[in-house]
Amino acid sequence: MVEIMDTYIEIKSVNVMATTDNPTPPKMTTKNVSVSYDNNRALKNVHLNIAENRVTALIGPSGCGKTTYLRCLNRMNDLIATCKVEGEIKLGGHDIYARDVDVEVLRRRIGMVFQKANPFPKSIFDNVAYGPRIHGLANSKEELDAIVQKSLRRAGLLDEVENRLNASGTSLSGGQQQRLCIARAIAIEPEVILMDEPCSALDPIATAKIEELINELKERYTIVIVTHSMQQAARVSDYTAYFHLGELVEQGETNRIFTAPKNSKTEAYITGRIG
Amino acid sequence: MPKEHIVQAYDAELGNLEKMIVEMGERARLQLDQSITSLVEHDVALARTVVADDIFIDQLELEVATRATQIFALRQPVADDLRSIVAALKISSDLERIGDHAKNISKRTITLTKMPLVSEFGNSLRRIHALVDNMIHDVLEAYRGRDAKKALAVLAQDTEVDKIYTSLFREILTYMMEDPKNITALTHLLFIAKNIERIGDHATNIAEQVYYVKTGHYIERDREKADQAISIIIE
Ligand SMILES: Nc1ncnc2c1ncn2[C@@H]1O[C@H](COP(=O)(O)OP(=O)(O)OP(=O)(O)O)[C@@H](O)[C@H]1O
Ligand SMILES: [Mg+2]
Repeated sequence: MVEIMDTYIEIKSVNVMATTDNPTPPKMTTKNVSVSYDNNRALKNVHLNIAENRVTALIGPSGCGKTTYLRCLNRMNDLIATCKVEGEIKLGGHDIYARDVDVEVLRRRIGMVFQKANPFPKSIFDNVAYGPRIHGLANSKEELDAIVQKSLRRAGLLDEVENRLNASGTSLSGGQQQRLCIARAIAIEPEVILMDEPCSALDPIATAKIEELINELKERYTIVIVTHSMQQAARVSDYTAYFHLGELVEQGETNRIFTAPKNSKTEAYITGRIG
Repeated sequence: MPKEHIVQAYDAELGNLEKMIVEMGERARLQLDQSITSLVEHDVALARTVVADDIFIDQLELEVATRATQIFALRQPVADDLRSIVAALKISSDLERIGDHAKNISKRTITLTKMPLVSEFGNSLRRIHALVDNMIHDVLEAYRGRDAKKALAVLAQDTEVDKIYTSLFREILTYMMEDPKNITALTHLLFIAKNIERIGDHATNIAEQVYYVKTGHYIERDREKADQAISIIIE
C-alpha cells in the first residue's frame, strides 16, 4: 500500500530585521525642530529621539544640516546671532530652551566635540583641566591630575603627550588636537556627548581607539556622532539618522539602515549612487 | 539595478558578477538538458561530455567568490549592493550544485545504458525535466530583472515538481516489486529522479535570494512537507 500525507506549502514574507526601530527609551527628544539662518531654512520639522546609552549617528551630504542639528542639542546655536531655532527639544523630559535653564549647566550635561579641532591656546594639561576646574569636579591637585590623565588615556593621546603636558595644545598635530578636544569633552563626564566628525583628521589606529572609546562611553553616556564615513556610522552606532537638504529622511536601527533602508534617497546616499 | 554609482568601476564590478551568475545559470541549464537527453536517448558520448564540462561551472563559482570577496574588501558594500553580492555568493553555490546533479545523472546514465527499462520512464523524466528547466529559466530572468513577483512564481512551480517526483517514486517502486531483477537499474533511476527534484529545490533557493535582494526580506516557507515521497510507506 502506498500512503501519502496531506501536504501544503505556505508562503509568507518575513522581515528578519523587523524589530521596532528605536525601542530604547529616549534621553533626548526633538519635535518639529526647524532652524534658519537669516531666514534661510537649514532644518525643517525634524522629529528625532536620541536613545539613552546608545550611539546615534547622523549622516547625510555636506550642508544637509547635521552640525546645525547637533548644535541645537546643547544650545550652541544661541551663540550665532542670525540663527533661529523653533520646535521642542527636551533632555530627560525637560525643555532645554525653557527660560529657567542655565546654559552653562546644560553644556556641562551635554558636551561637544567640534568638527574643527579647537584647543584653547593653553597647555595640554589646562585644556583638559579647564572643565573640571570651573565645574569644581576635583577637590585636590591629585584628583585633577587623575582626571586629566584618565581623560587623555581614554582619548588615546596620553602616550604621546605624557612628557609634555605643559606644551601648548596648539603645538600638537591635527589628529592629536582632535583627540585633545575629545579628552577635554569627556573630562567633565557629561551625560550626553555630541561629536561632530571626531575622526576626520585621524589615522586608522587613532580612529579605532576613538571608536573603542565610544563603545566604552555608551555604557554610561548617550552619544550623538556626525560622521561622513558610512563605515564608521555602521561600526559605532546603534541608530542612524539620514538627513538630506535639511530634512530627516529616514532613521532607524543601524543594522537595518545599512542592509535594507526603506527610503530610496537613503539607499542612493549610502551606496554612493547619484541621488 | 537602480541608479548608477558615482564610481563607475563599482557598477562594472557588480555588472560582471551578475554576468557570471547568468552564465553559470545558462551552463547549468544546458548541462541538465544534455544529461536528460543522454539518459533518455542512451547517448553515452553526450553523458561523458556533461561529466567533463562540469568543471567550467565549478570554475565560475570560484571566480564569483573571488570577485565578491574583492568587492567586500575594496568597496564595503551596503544596502541593496550588499544584498546583491551576498545573494550572488549563495546563488552561485546553488548553481554549482545544480551542475553537480546534472553530472551525477550523466554518470548514472553511463552505467544505465548497460541495462534495459529506462525508456519506460522517458515521458515522466522529460516532463519533470521540462518543469525544472522552466524553473531555472524563470529564476534567472527574475534575477536579472530583480523581479520579486517572478521569484515567488518560481516557488509555486516547485510544488508541481515534487508531485511528479512523488509519482515517479511510486512508479519505480511498482516496477521494483514486479521484477526484482530490475532493482539495480531502477535504483539508479530513482536517484536520477531525486537529482532532478533537488535541482528544483536549488532553483527555489535562488528564487528566495532574488526576493531578498529586491525586498530586503526573506520568505519563510514550510519546506518539510514539500517532498511527499518521504512519507510513502509500502506494506
Ligand atoms: N553660521 C551660519 N550662518 C549661516 N548659514 C549657516 C551657518 N551654519 C550653517 N549654515 C547653513 O546651514 C546649512 C546646514 O549647514 P550645516 O553646517 O548644519 O551642514 P552639515 O550637514 O554639518 O555639513 P558638513 O557635512 O559639510 O559639515 C548649510 O546650508 C549652511 O550653509
Ligand atoms: Mg557639519
